[in-house]
Amino acid sequence: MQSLSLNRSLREYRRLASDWTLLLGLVVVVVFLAVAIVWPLLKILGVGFSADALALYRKYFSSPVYLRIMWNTVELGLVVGAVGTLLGFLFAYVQVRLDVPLKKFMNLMALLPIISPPFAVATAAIVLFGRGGLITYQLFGIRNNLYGFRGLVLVLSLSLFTVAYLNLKGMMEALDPALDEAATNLGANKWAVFRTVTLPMLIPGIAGSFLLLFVEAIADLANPLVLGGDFTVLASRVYIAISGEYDTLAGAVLSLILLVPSLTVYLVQRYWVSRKSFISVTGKPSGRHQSIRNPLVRWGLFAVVMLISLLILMLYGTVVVGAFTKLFGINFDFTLANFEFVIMGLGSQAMGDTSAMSAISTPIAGLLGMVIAWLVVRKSFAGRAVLDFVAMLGIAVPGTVLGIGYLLAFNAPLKIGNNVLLPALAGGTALAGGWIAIILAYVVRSVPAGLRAGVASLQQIDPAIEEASISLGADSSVTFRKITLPLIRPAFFTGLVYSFARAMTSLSAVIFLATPEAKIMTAQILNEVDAGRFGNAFAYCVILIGLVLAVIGLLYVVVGTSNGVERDLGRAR
Amino acid sequence: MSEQTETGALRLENVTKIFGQGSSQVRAVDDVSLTIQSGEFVTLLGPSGCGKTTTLRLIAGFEFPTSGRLLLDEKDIANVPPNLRPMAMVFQSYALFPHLNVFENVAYGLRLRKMPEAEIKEAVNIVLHMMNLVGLERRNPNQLSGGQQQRVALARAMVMKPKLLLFDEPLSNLDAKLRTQMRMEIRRLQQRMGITSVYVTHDQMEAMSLSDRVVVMNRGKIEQVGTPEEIYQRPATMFVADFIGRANFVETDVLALDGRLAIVDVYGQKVQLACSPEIRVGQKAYAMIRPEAINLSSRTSNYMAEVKTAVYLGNSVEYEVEIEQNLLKVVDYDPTPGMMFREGSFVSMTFDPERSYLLPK
Ligand SMILES: Nc1ncnc2c1ncn2[C@@H]1O[C@H](COP(=O)(O)OP(=O)(O)OP(=O)(O)O)[C@@H](O)[C@H]1O
Ligand SMILES: [Mg+2]
Repeated sequence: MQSLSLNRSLREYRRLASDWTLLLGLVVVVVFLAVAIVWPLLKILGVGFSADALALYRKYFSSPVYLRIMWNTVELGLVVGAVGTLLGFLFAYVQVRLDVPLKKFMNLMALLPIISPPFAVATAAIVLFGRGGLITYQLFGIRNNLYGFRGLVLVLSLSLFTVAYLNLKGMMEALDPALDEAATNLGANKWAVFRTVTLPMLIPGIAGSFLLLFVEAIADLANPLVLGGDFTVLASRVYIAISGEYDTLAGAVLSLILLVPSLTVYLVQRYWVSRKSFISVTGKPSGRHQSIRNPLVRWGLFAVVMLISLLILMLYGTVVVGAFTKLFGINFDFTLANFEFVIMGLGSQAMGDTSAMSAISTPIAGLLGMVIAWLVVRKSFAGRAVLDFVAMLGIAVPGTVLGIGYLLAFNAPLKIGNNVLLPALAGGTALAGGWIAIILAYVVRSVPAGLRAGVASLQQIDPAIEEASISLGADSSVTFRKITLPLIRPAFFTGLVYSFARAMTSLSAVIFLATPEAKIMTAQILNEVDAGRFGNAFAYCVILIGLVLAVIGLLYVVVGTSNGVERDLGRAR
Repeated sequence: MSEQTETGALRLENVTKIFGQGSSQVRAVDDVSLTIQSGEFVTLLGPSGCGKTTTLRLIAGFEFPTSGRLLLDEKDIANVPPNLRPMAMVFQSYALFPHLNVFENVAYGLRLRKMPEAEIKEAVNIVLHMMNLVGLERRNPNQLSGGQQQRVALARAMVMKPKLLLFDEPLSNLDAKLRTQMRMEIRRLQQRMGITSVYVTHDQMEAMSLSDRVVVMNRGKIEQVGTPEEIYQRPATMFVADFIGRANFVETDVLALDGRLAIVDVYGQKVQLACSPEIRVGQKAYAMIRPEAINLSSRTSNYMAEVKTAVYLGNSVEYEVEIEQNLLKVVDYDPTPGMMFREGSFVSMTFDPERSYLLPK
């Protein structure tokens, strides 16, 4: 039995190997994943299960302070998961089922967080709603303490709900209107249809969104750093351990503690909840839904979603206005000093470095995503599920955890005996000033988006089209380049856009990897926020958003078509 | 049950449905008037886009007529929302609820009626039994074959004991054999339960075999309402004659008229044909001759024709013959083995006036 299946997989590999370009692709992918994901994670596991570490676990799990931190993390994940999913649901419902004005605007506001740098919303929230906030204090005279749990829930929900929105919107559009009609025909009124058909059909989507938001919320580092106050979560504790206490062991142990819920919840989401789905999101809306006519429901929902949209607009508006003012909330005089600081002054290197590293990582991540998608969907070989899973780890593993893994794996050269197998890629003495590790981290974090979009897109393309190309004499690589890639171009485009935006705005995975030769914009923003120089932080954010938008525009011209980008983005998460 | 057979009479009065505005207007249903008796099985038949589905959805209440009235048992139902209309619809896509199993799908409507659990169980089990679905109660819709899904959809409608059953091409997703089988099952059930039924299809075989009366529609209007025999043998218009089965049309002069019988000239021969009431003496008209009403033989006769094509189909042979520059379709349903006429040969032709009909031009 065993030898038989072994035989079969051997035959599969031999068949793969007979097409050398295919083999090359597979080898590149496997080597990349091994170096950029598996190796760093193994390093953390190695440190995290060393004899010294075991004592730390005992300490953490018996210390009220650390138990508190763990509970804080879970609590934050649960509440942000719930609030974010609710926001996503409301926005999606209004978009798909209501006939109301300004839907385009609300859609735009829901998508804005994709390109938003970390700190933008948090900082804007501080100057608007904090202790001396423009609205809370100067308008209403309330000394509001935004720092802590409430502030984090507010800012994280508003920054992360896009995932839930895109997810649920895709599902609602794919719901067959005939089901609603069948229920109506059997005697259900509008509320009963919603309760007994629409909602149950969306439950897997709701659960999936909740779990994804949970994972993202507990992995987030930027917001707890600036808004956490006394409310410490695991991610920020890891950061303090590494950056403040220089205690790599504690960092690794805490990362592993953070990794457990992240990975578990992610796995539940991906391999269990998403299987339960009744709806296959094909990318094409399945028909006209009757829009809701009850004025109370219609305008009530409209008002809620509109208010939230305006809140988002106000937060980003504050970022823009704040970038051009001397001291937001106190001195509104127009100034360009903030931009001068970023563009001509200290910030310019970070801007250049980050853009360059993101630009390098983007095509690599985009192509890798498509190649892995193609291998996973189209080729049969033992271990393709593993390939897919490992590639997705880039998003399932919290950025801080990955960052520590990189520190451990790449700070020193990898040697066997006296031969250097791999020189140091991160840290002060690293090859190419530490650029390589950061680019690798960017790629790893970005591949999953393109991969999911590519898989979804490929599953809808008849394999016979590629077979036709092969039978006409093209080999695998020609077929991939001439047939597959053009057909999945929207997914490829999605992957590229997402990769660039993700790289430019990522913080947690790379903050430990920054060197004097490889400066990271988001880390610089953190410095400015920490020092209370909000104007500079806002200017950074505005430039970052501007750069991302400009590159998306450029990609649009070069790669073309934005068809279904948002939907693909929704799937990509 | 017995009281239900008395109700369910439906009347459409000058119903019109216009979609869109301005230049992009579509008259999907155009001044349709129709009376359906209680317990009757009526089919809406017509080519794609003729407004069948729209008519059905107007009846179900999913669309609202632009003008005209809908009466159920002589009561205007304009203001009755679709969920309160005593009708059950069987959808083309079945529209089974994917998150509910077979039993729960069928029980859905009864639960909304707040029927006691025991009664629901009993009612559902009876229908499942009737529809041959026993043993599949716990399956999910995606674990059923197309035919089984179809039967669940039917069961879900039947269990409501509606006054009116509405079908929108319920068999179009099934293969040919299953389609015939389900067709007979639907007819048998409908007759047993005596529920008034409106059935939409573009398949004339389905319409003919199922219905008490067929409504032929074209471009939103009704062309003819009649029993399957009537619409086949005495079509009201050339559209109907052509759409129901196949037909040859031969242009003729009406020489004389005797009630519903006319004397006409067909290729130089005087023949007596049943005719439409609109036929007048001295006018041009069309003799509709069904392909199976034409007989070919090697003997000589009044009509000689040349065989242009001959296609052997096993149980029949189809010819195209040319006579006076006209091509006529001919079907021989009982071909003598080895006696097929060759292409290019000349044959004599006769046709059965009893099975032909005269239509106005
Ligand atoms: N919601 C709508 N908006 C605009 N036009 C519509 C709408 N629904 C139907 N129509 C138009 O009305 C006409 C009749 O459509 P209907 O669906 O009733 O046709 P049908 O007879 O059921 O055709 P088929 O056999 O293809 O199902 C068509 O021209 C169609 O394009
Ligand atoms: Mg139709």
